[in-house]
Amino acid sequence: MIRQFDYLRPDSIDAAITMKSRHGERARYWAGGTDLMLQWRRGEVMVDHCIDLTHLTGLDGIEAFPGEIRIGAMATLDDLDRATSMHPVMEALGDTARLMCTKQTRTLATVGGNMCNASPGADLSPLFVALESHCLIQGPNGRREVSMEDFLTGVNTTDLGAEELLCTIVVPVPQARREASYRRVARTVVDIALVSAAVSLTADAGTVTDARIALGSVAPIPVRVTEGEKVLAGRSLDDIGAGHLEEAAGHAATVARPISDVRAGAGYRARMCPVLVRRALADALGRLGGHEG
Amino acid sequence: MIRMTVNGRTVDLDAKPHERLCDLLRRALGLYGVRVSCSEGECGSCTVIMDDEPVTSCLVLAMQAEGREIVTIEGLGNEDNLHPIQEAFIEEQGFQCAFCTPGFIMAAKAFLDENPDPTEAEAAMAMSGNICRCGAYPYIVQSVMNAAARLREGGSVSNTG
Repeated sequence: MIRQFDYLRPDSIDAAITMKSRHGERARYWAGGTDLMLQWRRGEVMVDHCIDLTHLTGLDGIEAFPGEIRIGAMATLDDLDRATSMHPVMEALGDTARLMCTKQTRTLATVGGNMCNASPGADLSPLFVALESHCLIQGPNGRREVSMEDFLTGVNTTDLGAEELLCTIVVPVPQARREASYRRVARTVVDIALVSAAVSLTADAGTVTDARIALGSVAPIPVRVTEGEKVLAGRSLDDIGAGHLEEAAGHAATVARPISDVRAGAGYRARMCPVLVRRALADALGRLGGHEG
Repeated sequence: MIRMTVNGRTVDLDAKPHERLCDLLRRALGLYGVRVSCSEGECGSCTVIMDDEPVTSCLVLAMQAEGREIVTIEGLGNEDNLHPIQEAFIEEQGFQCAFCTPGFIMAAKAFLDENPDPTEAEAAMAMSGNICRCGAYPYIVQSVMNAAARLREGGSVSNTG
């Protein structure tokens, strides 16, 4: 079957939103297209109008502002890989982007597209959650913000309204030192995660002021391990021992809700959660100067 | 009509709205070195270079490539004047059936432009976006290392002469 669509090229974000409003459900925003091209060709997604965002300017930058880094939704995974020197949190994001798909696809696939596709196995989503990121969204009724935790709502679903466009992902950069880390299990270097864990630790004057732990691939959306976070928050870096990491990681097993599928069994995924959390915590702690790193 | 640069030549092409870049390059320009195999962005056989970056052209809409600079295997060299990377693949026997070879060579070109003096591990990782069903991987990595050496020496033709 030959599939066809009309091609539309907006010259601004407003023009793109107007096109979407006019053409409705079977008009689709087309970013890198690396997921959408396949979904369209397989007939999983119907597209009558392709609204190509590739030629829009101003949506693909990664820029540092006071207190935050703004990642344009059209920045590619390869752009993220190249932005690692901006800040320690960008190092974790770049290291994670480099694990994803292949070089030939990273040069096309966009960060915003990856979030909007909202795969439970998406590598970046638990890390964005652990980094307290939020999304800047534009729609027919103006702009709004939503945290990444609330942006992702289920398997391939997001908080975006029918006509809304994800424009920017904002990663806060606190005054205090923050280090993040992502660990996953995948079959090969180009595979998607079977199970993953992301952490961010913030330390001020030798004390952990904020700890965030998020699991990926074990539920429809990233899962916070809040009980595990409490084990570390408020503790001095010098005091944190192997037992604390073990205890924090242990809470991961109780909140994970993995499924069994062709890639891995639920039992395996559940057992790997604490292992990955411990590894990610040790990595982030080590870079903060803690003994157990 | 959309305009792009293909292998150094500015061309105006009549692309269909839903046409993929790989299909346009083959249909309109006869560039059959753009091999389409999996059509899912997994195998890398359709790799071309777009604005100095390798892309799987089966995942790119032709319309997205408007105004871009595309290089395919045909833009690297020809039978009478092979590119050093092509010579390296021949010398190291970096292929068997060769269906995947243009994709590997284009991926290698983009990689070596960015990293002219790689380790073997880096070369192997850089080739991880391409699949060789014959399994010539060790020879392919050797070909990339050989090509890197040739390019560093200014693209000398052969080490046998």
